[in-house]
Amino acid sequence: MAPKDETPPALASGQASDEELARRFATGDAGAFDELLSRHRDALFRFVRWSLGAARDEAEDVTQDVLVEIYRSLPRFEGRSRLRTWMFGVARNVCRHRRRSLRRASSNPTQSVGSGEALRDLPDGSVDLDGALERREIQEAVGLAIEGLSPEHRSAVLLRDIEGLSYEEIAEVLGIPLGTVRSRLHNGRLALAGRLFRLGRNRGGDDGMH
Amino acid sequence: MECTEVFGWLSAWLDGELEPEEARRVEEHLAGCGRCRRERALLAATSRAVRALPPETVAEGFDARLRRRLAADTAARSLHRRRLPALALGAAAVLALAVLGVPRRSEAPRPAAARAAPT
Repeated sequence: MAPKDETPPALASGQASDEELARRFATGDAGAFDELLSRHRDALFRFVRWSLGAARDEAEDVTQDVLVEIYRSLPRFEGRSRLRTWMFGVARNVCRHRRRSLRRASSNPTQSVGSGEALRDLPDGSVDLDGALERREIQEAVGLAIEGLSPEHRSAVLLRDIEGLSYEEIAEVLGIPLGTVRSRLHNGRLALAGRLFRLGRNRGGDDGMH
Repeated sequence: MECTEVFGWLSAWLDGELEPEEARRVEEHLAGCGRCRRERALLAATSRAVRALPPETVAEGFDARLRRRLAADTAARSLHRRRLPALALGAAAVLALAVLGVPRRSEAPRPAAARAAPT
């Protein structure tokens, strides 16, 4: 049986939904925005950071722009999608505008491993990814590997594996068909796996581990 | 079902995002194909590694900075709204002058003194 989809944590009893908070904000309850801010600001920050491949400070600045835009537009939220999806959509638009004007630091690698690089081309030993890297090194290696992904792959992987959005929600946020979500996620994970494998192999070669 | 076809579906299968019939076909293939099972394991390990990352959060002071920006933004928009009627009135006056009040150059040339005078 296929693994179950992970759903976002349920709201505590009596806790207002995001959509309810949006309605309250539209009728003048400023505190409702504070609650939405505390629920979603970090996820929006991560989305911005991953989408742009930006440094922390820069990503925070853009996230501020995103939240100002959300603050302005929230009274016009029509409830045709979940509020969280809508907010990520606002972030995507702000990032798209920002990307055009950003001068990317040359130290930020942008080339990706490319979808044509299938895992089947890697040696069988690569399957033991968890063992290929010391556990304490995994987070650093994953971070490095993620930096090397294309922005399209990074966004899809983040929305699925960190934020737990469904494929349908990802399609809505990124404005792409469902089939493209499937392929972006798949190719993104392939590229990531390839990079992690190489990082693990290089480190193993450098210091004699593994 | 061929390995190449299954391979493209493995991520969606791991995420529980395949249609039931698609999932059944993938599972049937996996039961008899060690290579695809290894690939499934690697994709699952990659996904796990990403999920295990500690979630990044904004730095302290982020909310306070945002509130200052929102307050400034709200004040600026409020000022703009207050100025809007005056601006509209001004625009209407200019339009009226353009249509009705300004004499044509050929009819009433402005004296040089008047052109030089400060406005």
